[in-house]
Amino acid sequence: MAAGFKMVEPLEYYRKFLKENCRPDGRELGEFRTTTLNIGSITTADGSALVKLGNTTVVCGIKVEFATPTVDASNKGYIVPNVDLPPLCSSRFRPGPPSEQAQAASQFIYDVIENSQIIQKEDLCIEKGKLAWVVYCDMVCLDYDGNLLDACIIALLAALKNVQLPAVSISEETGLAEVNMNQKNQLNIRKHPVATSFAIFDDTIFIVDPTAEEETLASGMATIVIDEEDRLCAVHKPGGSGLSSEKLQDCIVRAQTRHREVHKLLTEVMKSVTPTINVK
Amino acid sequence: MGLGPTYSMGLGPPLPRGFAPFSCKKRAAWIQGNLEKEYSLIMEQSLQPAICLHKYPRSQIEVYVMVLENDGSTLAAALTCASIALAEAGIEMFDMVVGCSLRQCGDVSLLDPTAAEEYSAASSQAVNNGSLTVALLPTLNQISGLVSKGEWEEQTSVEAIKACIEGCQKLYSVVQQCLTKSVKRKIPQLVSKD
Repeated sequence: MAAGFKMVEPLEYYRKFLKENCRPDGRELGEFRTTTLNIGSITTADGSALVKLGNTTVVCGIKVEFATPTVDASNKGYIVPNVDLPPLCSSRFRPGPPSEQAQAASQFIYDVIENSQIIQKEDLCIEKGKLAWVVYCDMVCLDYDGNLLDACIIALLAALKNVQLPAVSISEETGLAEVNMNQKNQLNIRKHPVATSFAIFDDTIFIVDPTAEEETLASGMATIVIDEEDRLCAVHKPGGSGLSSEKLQDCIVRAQTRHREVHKLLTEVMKSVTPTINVK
Repeated sequence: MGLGPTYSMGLGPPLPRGFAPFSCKKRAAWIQGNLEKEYSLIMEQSLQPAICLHKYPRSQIEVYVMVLENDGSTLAAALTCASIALAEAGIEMFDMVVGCSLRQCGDVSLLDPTAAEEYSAASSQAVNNGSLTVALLPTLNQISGLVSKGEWEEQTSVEAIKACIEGCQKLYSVVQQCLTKSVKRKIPQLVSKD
């Protein structure tokens, strides 16, 4: 009976739960799904992390390469994030060029990196005007069940913290780069932003960490990114129902609490990985 | 992709088989390379005989494989992986497909080579330098796919195929265990009965 009602009137079905301030999966409106984090599992990548937010699974792999800095930014390296939503993560994605959602997610991640200054591009410069690091961050969604952006940000942060860059020096005689694989340093991660996404129902009710089903029923979405100093790094509100200033304040407060939860998880996981190389 | 003359049925378009950009030593771009297209074709040919396609007329079964980390024998692993996923999905099959690969270097045969041990044309050995991947239907004991690269002597080649078949049979018991566990997880009432 309930299953039939759910299929015919999904929004009404949801409203019945929201009236009791809960959701069909038993969560409260402000409750996140269980977050699991695993780092360093992909040895071919220079840094990697796997995040599970409920069923949503995102793996982030970092590859670093050499590049020449541009003329107008001769002391800066590059960070290239990319989000991929392959057809295997959900039947809503078809094979072919990156979907709009994937492109929008990639741009969002790029903006967060820029605004929060997770890594300063100057740190990626090896020799001004000649050599710099380019950090490719590829996030692949393996299972899509909503809230892609939050999972991607956690995966990106954890993977970046997992990266070990070998020491590079430019030899005087040949002018070529000499890589010392025995001496590795971690990337200088300056800020630790954490994203919190909300789905807006009927213009008034905000629920945190929406599943894929909740995302399709929602009338709007909002994502808030906070760093460890409780400062706002990004607010992503792509269309949909309006967001009043009081509601925005509530969301920011929730995002700040979430930041502490994720930061705790991240520090625990980083502690459990024993660094075998020098830490800068 | 049409099979019979009257109605079109098949495994669908060539299985996009992706290598994630961070899966190999050198970062690969997202655009499908020739290797991926070749592997997709081989996989489609190897998986098709195992599936009861006649039970799915006018339907398309799409299988997507993504390699997260490449440390050799990816085709063999992908074949096994895809057939387990098909079984998990409840697609009716005649038999599982298990893949196994072997690297021959002179007199030395290496079963399940790692990335460092994989075949490369520029190797020191002139004769008997090659790699072999076999896709086997274990219960029916039939080979649904075979890829051989390099130069082989007839006898060595036959022995290598036999070694791969043995490897597949050993792997099949692990596959069975995995599927049994998965079924037990999904149907707890059956488990509590015995």
